[in-house]
Amino acid sequence: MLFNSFEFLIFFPVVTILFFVLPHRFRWSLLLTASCFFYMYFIPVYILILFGTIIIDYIAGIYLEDTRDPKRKRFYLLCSLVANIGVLAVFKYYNFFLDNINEAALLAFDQPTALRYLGIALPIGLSFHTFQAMSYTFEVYYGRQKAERHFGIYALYVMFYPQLVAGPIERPQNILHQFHEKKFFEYHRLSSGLRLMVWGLFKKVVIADNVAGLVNIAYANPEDHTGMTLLLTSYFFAFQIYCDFSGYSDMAIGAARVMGYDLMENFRTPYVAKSIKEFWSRWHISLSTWFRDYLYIPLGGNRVSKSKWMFNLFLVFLVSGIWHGANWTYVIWGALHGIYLMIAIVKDDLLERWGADHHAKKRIFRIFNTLLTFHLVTFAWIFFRAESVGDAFTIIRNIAGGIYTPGSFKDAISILADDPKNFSRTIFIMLLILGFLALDPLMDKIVKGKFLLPQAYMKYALYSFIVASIILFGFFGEVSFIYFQF
Amino acid sequence: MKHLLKSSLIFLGSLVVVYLALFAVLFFIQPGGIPFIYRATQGNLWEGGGTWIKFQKFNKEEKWDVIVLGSSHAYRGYDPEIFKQHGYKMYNLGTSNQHMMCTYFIAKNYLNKDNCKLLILDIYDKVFSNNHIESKSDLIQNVCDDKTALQTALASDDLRAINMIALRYFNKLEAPLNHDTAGYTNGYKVAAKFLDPRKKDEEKMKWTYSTCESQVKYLDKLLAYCKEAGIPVVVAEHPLPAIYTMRHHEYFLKDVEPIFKRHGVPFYDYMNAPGLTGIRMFSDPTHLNHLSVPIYNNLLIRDLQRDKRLPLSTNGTALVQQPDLQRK
Repeated sequence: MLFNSFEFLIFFPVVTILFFVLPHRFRWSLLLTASCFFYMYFIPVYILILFGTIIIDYIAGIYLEDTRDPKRKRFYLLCSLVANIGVLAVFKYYNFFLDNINEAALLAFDQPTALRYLGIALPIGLSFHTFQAMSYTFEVYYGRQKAERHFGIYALYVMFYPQLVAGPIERPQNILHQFHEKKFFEYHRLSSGLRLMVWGLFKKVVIADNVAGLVNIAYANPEDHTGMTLLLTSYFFAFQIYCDFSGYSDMAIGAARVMGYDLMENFRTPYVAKSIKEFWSRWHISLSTWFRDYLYIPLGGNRVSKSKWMFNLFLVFLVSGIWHGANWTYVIWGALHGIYLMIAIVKDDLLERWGADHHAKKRIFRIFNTLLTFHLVTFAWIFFRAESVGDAFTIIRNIAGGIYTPGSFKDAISILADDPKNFSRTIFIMLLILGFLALDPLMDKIVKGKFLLPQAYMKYALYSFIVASIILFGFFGEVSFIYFQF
Repeated sequence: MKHLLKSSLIFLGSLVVVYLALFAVLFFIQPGGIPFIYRATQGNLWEGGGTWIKFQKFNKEEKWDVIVLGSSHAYRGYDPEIFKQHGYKMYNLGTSNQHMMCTYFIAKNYLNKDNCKLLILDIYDKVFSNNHIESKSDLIQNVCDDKTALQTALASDDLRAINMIALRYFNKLEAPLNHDTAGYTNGYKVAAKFLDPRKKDEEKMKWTYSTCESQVKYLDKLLAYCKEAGIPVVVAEHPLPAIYTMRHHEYFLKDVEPIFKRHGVPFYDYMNAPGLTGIRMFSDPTHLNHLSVPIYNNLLIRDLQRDKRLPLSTNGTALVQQPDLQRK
């Protein structure tokens, strides 16, 4: 079930009302049932895979806690990791792996292998819930979290519907104890949760989904498009993916907050970041901290030699790229971010030696750094969005080949509009993006309660404007969330 | 709880005010004479004068021998003049891309056993496989009966229907958008042109049939309603060019034929009617033209008379002109 669907508009209030009507002892079962229903709305049979890994991780957690023998502990951890990564390997990476093996076999022996492709769809949000499950076993293994003995609560930890299919990837310390606590209806939680949901929905249906159509036109056949068209749509994609994913996160956090649960923050206006490092502390925070805690730090983090440190960073981002999808485009996207961070280390080192640090404090440098970071991120998004590595290079080549010629902007808009009737709508969508760009940092603070509007009527006017804009300008076709595929 | 109720009411009130204010601004800004609301919002159509005019002119109190419902295949494929030549009084209430939901509400609010002796429902697999907003939008904005518009909007399960209803009432303050009203006779519009053989528009042929649950549901409801209301129905599919992919048609038939059987409704499938599938018979990849419509209509009337779905012509002739299909 999609958050931006009519079904969710019914599902959410029904589940929330039932949640508060039911006594505390029945609430976990209501939420678990609702989560199963939510998940089974996509491909029902895949719930069995989810339950399979839940059972393995639940048992592994208890054994991990009850065992003192380090060898046995490692064994139980391994069992849990093999189950989770095994599911990922089969469903997400097997066909990709086979593709590459076959290509290598073709080169070497002029014929592909006899191995067969799996004709199965990827379970929705597989990478999210397996990472959340692994986070639990890691934490129990390290002794930072007690094993959950209540099977239903543990299953709910993995399946809690607001964050089941696209995160935030929660940690057991943050959420498990909340499922045991008795929740009371609180007006301020309801209103702040709904405000977040409305803002998330605005980002999704007004910005991301309207922009998606334009991006799809250029990225479907990049060889047919000019540098200007591809440049514009590459910028558009930067906003599409931000609004799509952060919109989902806002709706997830808001939906959980209405029922009294606090999920971790996942986005903090990432495009105002002044460096790639800062970008990653603002973008998909739950994933970047996951990689930090369970891969980067165990590898030694930055407490190693500079070359090893740089290698660790590169490796983490390479894995992050693979996590996003089974395609070389994602691998290159991750590698690019790894390279950016390695360059940043070298750059900081040089600046420190030259004593040029004070420049960074000047406003003009801050603006320059923000623009540079945004463009580096947007450049990497080209690989993320392109259908293939070849397409990504075609896009870069066409953009590098020349952007501006007289009339090129108008021509690009005409092509993206597809129909002369849509010309002004395309311009209108661009204006919406610019308006969003200007207001997002302030709106982010307002919806997260970090900036309080002085008068109540301002709040009513603002949210009425947002909801009215959703109804008027929202795109209501069947558009899924980009991150559901991961 | 009192606080929640109070703030919800204030919010709803302010939402209505802000929405209408925004809508009004976008409606009264009219670059190129067309309100900007049509460009800023998704799914609203500024064409559709054809729908508006046919419902304006349709008189529910009159008695009709035949009424045709369906998509553009219907309003461009069934000529009241041909039916008149056989002595039948016919009106065409087909609209662009007509979704079965729209067909159902039109039938429910406009047809009854007294004003419709036979309903011909034209059905087309490509339209049937799509849960599009186009025809709902067309009907909500252009049908003259408020009840039909509101029922369609409510049944749409789509937030965009709010904009369509708002546009309907904003347009009522001004003259309705009334493009493309010329050339309609009892709801039928002739297409006097030929499909250019060099441009077969094969792109339009490349599509895949998929079952649309909503269409299936409303087809079932429509036929059940007609049965209950005592309106005789026949379903027809008009000819399509020979280059049309049969594969779609087979999947489509699997969806619809059980429904026709359940309601005892006969299905006249002319998709591959001999002599009517050459590209000279079409004005574009799927619509019949001024040459083929008379041939097709005569063929259909002959078959309906043969099967006693239509009484023999009131002017005494069994058929005005028996078409020589092979020669054509």
